Amino acid sequence: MLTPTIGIEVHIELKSKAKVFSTGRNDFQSLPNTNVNILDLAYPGVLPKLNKEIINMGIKTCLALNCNISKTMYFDRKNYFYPDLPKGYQITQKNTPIGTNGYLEIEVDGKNKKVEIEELHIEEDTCKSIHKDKKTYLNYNRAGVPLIEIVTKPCIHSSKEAKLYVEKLRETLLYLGISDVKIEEGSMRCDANVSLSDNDTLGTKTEIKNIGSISHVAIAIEKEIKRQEEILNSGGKIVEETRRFDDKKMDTVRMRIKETGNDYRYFPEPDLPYVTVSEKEILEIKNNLPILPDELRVKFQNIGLNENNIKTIIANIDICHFFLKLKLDNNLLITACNLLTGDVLAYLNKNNLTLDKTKIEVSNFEKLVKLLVNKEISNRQAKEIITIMLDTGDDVKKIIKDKGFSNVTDDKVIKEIINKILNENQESVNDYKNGKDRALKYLMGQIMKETKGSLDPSLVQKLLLESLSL
Amino acid sequence: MKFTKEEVEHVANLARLELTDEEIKKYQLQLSDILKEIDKILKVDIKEDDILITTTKNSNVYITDNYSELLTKEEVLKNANNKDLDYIIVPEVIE
Repeated sequence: MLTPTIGIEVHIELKSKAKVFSTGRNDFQSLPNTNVNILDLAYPGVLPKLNKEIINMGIKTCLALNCNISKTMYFDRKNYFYPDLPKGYQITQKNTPIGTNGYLEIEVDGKNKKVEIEELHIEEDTCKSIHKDKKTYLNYNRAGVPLIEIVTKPCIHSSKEAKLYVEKLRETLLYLGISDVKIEEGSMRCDANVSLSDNDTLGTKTEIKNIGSISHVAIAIEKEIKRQEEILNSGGKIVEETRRFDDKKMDTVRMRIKETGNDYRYFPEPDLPYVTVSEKEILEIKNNLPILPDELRVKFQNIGLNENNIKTIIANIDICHFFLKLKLDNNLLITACNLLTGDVLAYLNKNNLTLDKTKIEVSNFEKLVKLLVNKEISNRQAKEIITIMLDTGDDVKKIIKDKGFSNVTDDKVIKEIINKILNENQESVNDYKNGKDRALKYLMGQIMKETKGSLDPSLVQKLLLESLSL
Repeated sequence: MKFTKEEVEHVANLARLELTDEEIKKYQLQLSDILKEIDKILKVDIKEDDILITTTKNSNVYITDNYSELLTKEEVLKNANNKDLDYIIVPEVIE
């Protein structure tokens, strides 16, 4: 029986303002070759200097992924000659990675599994190459952008586990606030090492690069497992090679290999001095860590949100951050969450927006929730008001006034309306008293029509029955 | 220990250099001499955890996270032989 073993390497582009070893600008959306300084182009005589913020982001990531943090570090040169790297080497951390021996917990078929993390290191990105018409166009904006590489141990055993790990990692890093983690835009990149074996020794592995979306992670691994199974079952041998995922063929294809192992001629980077990190610094960063998904899940369960809503709200970070700002009692929060994951999310999806791009305000939304829970407005009205709030940011009271929602909850006032309708429809009243249930529905309809549907139907029915039994 | 012809060709390939047969012979000798010197250094007994990586004793030399001293696009492209309005262009390199 062949068992697959998978290790995953993920590269994350950090969203700092400057680059990792230069004061070049780190911005994905700038025009080509406008974020560059002499360091990024490796002009003669320039020397790198480390951006402090990158070490802080590295420590944050280590803490979120339960890694041991190196107290003393240096950087290493990985040498290779390629136009995307003007220096002729990439500065990375081979011997003293900032983090080691961590883990991330995932839930597989109802059971928790710790995906072990071998190491986490800081390095610089290369420039972006665009291949077109037998030429390569170079954009150095990305050269020197800070990366964190996170490498798991070979401890993943199915494409499903691999996908769950990548999803959980993305979610964790997003809430950590260190990266956009958009796999489609390249701020998160996934490589997978896959091997098969029928005993305790690992089989020969292949590496799959260029996996362009989270759903492709599972597909690429699945296809590679199948390919290797077919070779091994027909008595063949796996060749150690780098493959890439082709999203047109939806399969892995063989890729030419640049250099391997020793050819990189690693040695310590002599242009950067040692970096030391104190317990005090680590503690300070730890005390200021944002609330992460695992903790949020428990918090939301305690409020009493249902599992579906918890999943939805965590998957939409803008809505989640908005929800966390609400100062309401738990029963009101449940209603608030229903509105946010229902009407609000539907609006955002329809208009292709995030919540921070709309005009909705926390205190205004709180008022709306209170009015709804106190039955001063109906669900239908709430829905209408939310859309206006998202569009204009208008105060909820103003919207109610503008819309002419009568906003009546006073029993006395409602009873007056009921009596008026009963007087006008004596025949129906008699029908009801003679046992015709349909007459009740007719009277309800008349009252709702009179008040343009602004009253809470259950309250009206209660008061109507009281009046009829007099 | 002498560098073989293949080893010199391999190292030359890593640096994308084309060498003549005569040059290869020359570098076989020169690189072997360099390795001999390095062998001497390797024989010195040092503690692995205290390696000297820089000539300065400073540590934690940082820049703050602000971008500055950017080149204009024109300056970036100025020294390139091949370019268009936005990019430096090189012969196609495909992995």
